[in-house]
Amino acid sequence: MYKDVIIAGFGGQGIIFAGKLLSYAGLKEGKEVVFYPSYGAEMRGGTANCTVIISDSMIPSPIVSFPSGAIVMSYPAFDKFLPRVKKDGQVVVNASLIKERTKRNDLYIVRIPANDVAESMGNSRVANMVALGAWVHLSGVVSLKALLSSLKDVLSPDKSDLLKINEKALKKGWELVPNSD
Amino acid sequence: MEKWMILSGNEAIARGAYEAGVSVAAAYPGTPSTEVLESLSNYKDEVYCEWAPNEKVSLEVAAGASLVGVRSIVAMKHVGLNVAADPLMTLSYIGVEGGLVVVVADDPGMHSSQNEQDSRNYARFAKVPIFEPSDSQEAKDFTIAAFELSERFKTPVILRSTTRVSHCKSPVKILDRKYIPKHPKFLKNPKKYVPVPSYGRKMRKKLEERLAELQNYANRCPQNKIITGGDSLGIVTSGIAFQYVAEEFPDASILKLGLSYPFPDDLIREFSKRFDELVVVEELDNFLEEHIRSLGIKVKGKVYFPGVGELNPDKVARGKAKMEGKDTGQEENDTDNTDLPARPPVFCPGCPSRGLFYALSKIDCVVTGDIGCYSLGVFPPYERMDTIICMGAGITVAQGMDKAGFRDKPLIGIVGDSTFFHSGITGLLEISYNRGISTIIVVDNRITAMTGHQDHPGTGRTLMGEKTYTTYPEDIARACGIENIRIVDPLNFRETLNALREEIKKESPSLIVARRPCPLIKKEKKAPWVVDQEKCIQCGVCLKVGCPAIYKKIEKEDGENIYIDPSLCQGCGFCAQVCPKKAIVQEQN
Repeated sequence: MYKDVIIAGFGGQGIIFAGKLLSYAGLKEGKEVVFYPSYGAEMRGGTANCTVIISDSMIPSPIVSFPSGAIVMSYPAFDKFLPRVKKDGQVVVNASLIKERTKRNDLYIVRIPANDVAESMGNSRVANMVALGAWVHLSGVVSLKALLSSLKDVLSPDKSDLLKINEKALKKGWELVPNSD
Repeated sequence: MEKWMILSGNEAIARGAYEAGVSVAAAYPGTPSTEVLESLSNYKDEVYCEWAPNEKVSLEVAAGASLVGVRSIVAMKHVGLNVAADPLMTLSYIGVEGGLVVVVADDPGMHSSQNEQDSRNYARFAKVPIFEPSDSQEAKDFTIAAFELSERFKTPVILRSTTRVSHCKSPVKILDRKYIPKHPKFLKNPKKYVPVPSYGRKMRKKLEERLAELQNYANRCPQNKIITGGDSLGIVTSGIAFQYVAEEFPDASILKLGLSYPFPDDLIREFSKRFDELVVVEELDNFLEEHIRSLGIKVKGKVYFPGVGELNPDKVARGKAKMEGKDTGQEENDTDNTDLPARPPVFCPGCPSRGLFYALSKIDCVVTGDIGCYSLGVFPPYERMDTIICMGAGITVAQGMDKAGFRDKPLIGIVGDSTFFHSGITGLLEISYNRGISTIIVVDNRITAMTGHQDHPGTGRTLMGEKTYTTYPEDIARACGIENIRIVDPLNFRETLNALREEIKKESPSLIVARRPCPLIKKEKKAPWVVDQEKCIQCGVCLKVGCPAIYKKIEKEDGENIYIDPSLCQGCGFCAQVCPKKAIVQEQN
């Protein structure tokens, strides 16, 4: 098993947090993990993206040019990264902010209104968890259990009150993806 | 229970230094090295951590700590090592007592730098050993090894990272802090610590002996290893390039050099014997290739794998195709195959530099610039940054043009606050002492902004979290003998423009401090401004201030309208000052 995913959106959408959580879930399941947050100059309102690779064997290159999965949370991210996803790649698109459709028909795309779902749960900031829960179900790269139990490793102690809502959002996202046979 | 964490290379270096019992850590921030000291400061109860004014100072501080017997580390970006090169060159003569590790993070591909120098050359130049980790676990392990090697051979040791190693995160096994720091003591020994010529010449000879011993060690150290694969191809590689080789040449035999200088000649000879031809895959310079060829070994490298720009798996794959005579003729840069317009970074909404550069764009002048957020002033709509060389040169290049007799346009030198403390003070002395007439602007946003808000001598806080003296550029300027000193708010358009117009006319040097804190320090959002569509005549003046919050939208019925995005607007109100119709108003409540 070798799976790489790009998670992309605006700064402030919790993109890096989602990548970190996924990495720790992979670590928890005894996999090899590489997490690459994109770095740029500090800038307000900029874009954010990161890549996560999870594999059963040693991961040679940490750089992913053409990922086999994507979670796109904003329109610029959709525009930039969807063309790069490999054929048959699994993609979660944040339908709350991305109304456009891609012309590509060689991808497994699930459209999740992540912001709307998060808002209905009472905290719009967990849209990232909704999308991540959905993608993890779609890709099967780690278990939901590993994802949930990694939250406490990643949430800073002063934010432990947010544990429950993040858990809820991950589960909700997971449920929004229909079981594949 | 074993403890694992997912760490970036920089965080792993910090962890390694902590586990190795480091006592003193110093750095000047610079991408991609900044997080080394930032994460080390998490251990500030046990490790003294500081932001030094510049890299030279940081290395000298570490040298002092080493000479009293404690372990010390410094971290810097590649160009920082140029600044620190002076102490490094002589420190290798003097040697160390406590282990001293110099972390240098190169930036192949120039993601956030003005050049892409290969700092491995410094190891050979200064005659000190260099480690090159390939991932986070190695970054930690090699840091610990570097401290041990440093003390064993009494030499400073370079640990060289690159952007990808520094920023990529992977699992690292966490150990305890085993080494117990020594109590500092100084044993007087001028023959060892004072390289006056008569002592220095002896040190020079000893240095060569040490290098020979180190070379012996490099031949059998655990960081240099042969990964046996097939018999047909042998590859020598180091650092991040190893990861790409592992991906693209799964069947090759690999000599992975973790301690790449002094060159492990015996090991290289032994490895090369097994193959008709050796290939070197290395990022940037032909550092290894050139040396291996000088040993009389048939070797190829740069003919397949480019020395310009960052390597990546695609480039290595193309090199492999070339080796196999299957040149695909593909263009480089094929990872960015989208036809989207380039979006260069811009000043953040609310950035004080926007006001300054907008005012500068109203003056016909030559602007010699410097390294920082304000470097973005080179781009439209301002185009008021005509040169950049290195930190501090914003001041002195203007002086050079002045002394050459250039009088066609006024000369304005720009420097940031952190950059001013880093290398600007001597430049100011130069202008004052040698009777220059340029106008120097310190863009003083009260923080080291572009690397992510590190403290500096002007912030009144240390990395240890203590309050300290706050230094102001105007006080230093006064002491240097600059008589014309102005302090302006760069987001006050008239005040800034008037100050500029007055100061450039003077026949003596001026210092303008354009002071307003970076809006990202205190995230105080004021009420956003809105365009009153009744008053707006769509003249587009506000668009020329280059704020990402202001945009033009084509309407179906009434043509184009200009709007301000309330989620981006920080309420600075600069655009309202330039609107000729007073059509930009602040939203109430």
